Amino acid sequence: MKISTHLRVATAVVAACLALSACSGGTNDDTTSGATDPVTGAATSSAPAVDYTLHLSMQAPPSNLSIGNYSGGDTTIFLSVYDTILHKDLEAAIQPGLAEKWEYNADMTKLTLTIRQGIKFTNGEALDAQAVAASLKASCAGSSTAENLKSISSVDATDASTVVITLSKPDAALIPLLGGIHGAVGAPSLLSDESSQLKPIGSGAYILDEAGSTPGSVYLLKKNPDFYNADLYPFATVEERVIADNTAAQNAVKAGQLDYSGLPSMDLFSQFPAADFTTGNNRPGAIGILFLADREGKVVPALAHQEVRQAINLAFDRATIAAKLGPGIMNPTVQVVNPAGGAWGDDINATYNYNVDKAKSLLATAGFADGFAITMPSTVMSTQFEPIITQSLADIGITVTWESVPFQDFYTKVFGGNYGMYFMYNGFVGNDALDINAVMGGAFNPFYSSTPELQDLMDKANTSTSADAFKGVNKYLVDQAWFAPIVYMTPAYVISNNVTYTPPVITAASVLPWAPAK
Amino acid sequence: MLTFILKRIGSGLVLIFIVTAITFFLTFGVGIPVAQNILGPSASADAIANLEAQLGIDRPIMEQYFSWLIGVFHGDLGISYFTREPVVNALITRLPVTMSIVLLSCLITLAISVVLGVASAARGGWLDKALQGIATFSYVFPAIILGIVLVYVFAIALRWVPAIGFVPISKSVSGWFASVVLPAVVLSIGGIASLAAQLRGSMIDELNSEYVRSLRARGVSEISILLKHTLRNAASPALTTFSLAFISMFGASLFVEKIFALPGFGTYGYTATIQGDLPAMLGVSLFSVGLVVVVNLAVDLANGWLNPKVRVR
Repeated sequence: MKISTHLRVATAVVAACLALSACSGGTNDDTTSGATDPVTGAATSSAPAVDYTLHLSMQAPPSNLSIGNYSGGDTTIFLSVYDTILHKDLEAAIQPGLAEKWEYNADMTKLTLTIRQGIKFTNGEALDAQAVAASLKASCAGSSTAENLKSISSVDATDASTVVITLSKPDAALIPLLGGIHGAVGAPSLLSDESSQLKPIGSGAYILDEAGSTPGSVYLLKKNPDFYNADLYPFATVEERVIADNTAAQNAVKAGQLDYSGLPSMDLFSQFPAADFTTGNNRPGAIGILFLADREGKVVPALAHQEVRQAINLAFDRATIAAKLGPGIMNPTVQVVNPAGGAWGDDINATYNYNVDKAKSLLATAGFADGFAITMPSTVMSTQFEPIITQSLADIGITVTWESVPFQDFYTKVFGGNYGMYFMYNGFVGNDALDINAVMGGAFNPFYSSTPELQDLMDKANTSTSADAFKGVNKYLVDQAWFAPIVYMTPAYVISNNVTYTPPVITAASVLPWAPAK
Repeated sequence: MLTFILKRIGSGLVLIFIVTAITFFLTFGVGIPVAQNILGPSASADAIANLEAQLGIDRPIMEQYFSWLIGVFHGDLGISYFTREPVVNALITRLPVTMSIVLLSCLITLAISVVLGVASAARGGWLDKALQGIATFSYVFPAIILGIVLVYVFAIALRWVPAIGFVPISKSVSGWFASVVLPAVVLSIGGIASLAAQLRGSMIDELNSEYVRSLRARGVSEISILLKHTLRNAASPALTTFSLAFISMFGASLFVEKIFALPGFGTYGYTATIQGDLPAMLGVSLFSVGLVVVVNLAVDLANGWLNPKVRVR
């Protein structure tokens, strides 16, 4: 996720949340090639391409478009040009992609991929197992993708249609990763060529039209006539503009220049008459979390106590906060996982119902009956929540001092272990393993917190193919109060009457959610 | 004159060198975590270190600076850390956008302020008061409000012009005009007020001078006096005001570019600054200072042409 994404207010973060991957690991050996329904993955009948240009926008230009170096945000361009080893439908369920079949061995340390035959890149190069292996190796070494693929110890093309991925340990995140930017496959001759940073060559549903594109401002995609799943992509052309300002994007929808825009508030629905537009809410896209990062009490000794962290969780009247700050868009949560995923539990969400008396009691048990003081970084991301956090914590005796930090310095300061607690958004990526990995790494875990119990739960989850494999991990994190999540967002949107839109589990990932209006 | 021009160019180059050096070292000194910003909050320390090495930002500061400086002399302003687009290419594609709205805005400003200034000075009375009122109103009226109103009326309600985007003049002249006319009008509002006021004052001074009395005594027509004699003399101070307005329009273009989602120079510079995209920031600084130097030089030359008394031998 790029800084420009983070600089937006909450709803904008949601709109630009990472588009990585989905679904649990496991085997699938009865899959077939051909067109599939974008929502359910079921086979569909052929439909002709529509001579209509789908007009979309993104808030920041795409980053380095070469394999292994794309750093997220809106992945529409990247995942339209590059085909991926596996596909994800709108429910984020894994479907066949360049790999028609995929199968783990018994201990889930070897993944065998059967690569679709007869595919060519748009520059004419053959796409075979060697090409897939070459791209995957590039991703394993790529600046943006290596971190998530570190469980891969080797990638081998054993014949023209078979790739074997060997893992150092089971990794439930791998399959969904192969359906996103980590599993993108580019023309082998250009993998290390600088030209691919701006002019990617893949075998995806669309070709980036150089003449119609201006890097950094407008990107024109033209349908790849040879794409095997072309029926899923009915638009002959897709134009995606960089529009940083959401009001400008809304104006463009009103003026008929854009087919879709996110909306920061449902109050704006009234500006879009139902005769000309359709409005609605996206699926859960991001979560606002108070990171209780200093779980060993290095900077704020009180946070080392589980009771203190639980007390902080009990101090928030989440339902009222959601209703007041973002009616219809914000929803109360105490979990860091996506409500659409298997790890989510409605029962778990009742763990920390608002209870000031219980919170004070827990603080007293931990030896902080008189409360304590804490300093937190104030950034553009936290300002909306600061008065509520300050008041809620003051009610249980915790005094918060906000220290203004330019957002550019936020990561450095947090990563440097300067704050025991801070507020930040995290975008859901459509998969429990990835969502949990995200909040336990980098600037989201600056004190490198870990416990043997958690590691044990993670190991078990990574070897499970169950949809709720990570529920145990989620419950542990909630019980231990590693975080104080406050709300998750279901952002509002508007579309023109030229198109239909099916809200996907992963937003801003591809052009799959849109179809021409009948 | 040639010596004067060479001196101005020389001092301009020194200014460019100093400003870009300050930009570089100030930005570097702030320590913006570029790699972390690119990779996101979940990135590990190893991933960040790898990307820093890849981008070359792990090198000593002086090495990075001289590497950039040497590139400048070869016409290479570096590559954006974020988009990987060569900065020169980015500036080339974005400058026509900004220059389109700034130049059209200049034309609008000049045309309206000359009419307002000359008419106010020549007629006086209620016309002067009314035109001054208009000028004052345009000066204090927030341009951003005007932009929003214009978008609503002309782009959304009437759909005469697009609400967003830029059409290159090479693609369609009418499309280009439609895409830049509203931003140019918004940008010109403040400039019209200041230039009209300046021109009105200078014209009144000129009209009260002795040579105008002599011209009138010789029976020269009022139109000729206004446009051929006094306007030329009054133009000199107005030109300085106009040059300042031009430069401020260039800076203010960021706001109209945001309102109209124009992929211009201002947006590029703003995004680069927010991201800590040093090569892009330096490219923008280099060009901006260069523009100030060129505009000032052009104004000096124009002043010399308008008024032989200020020509430097």
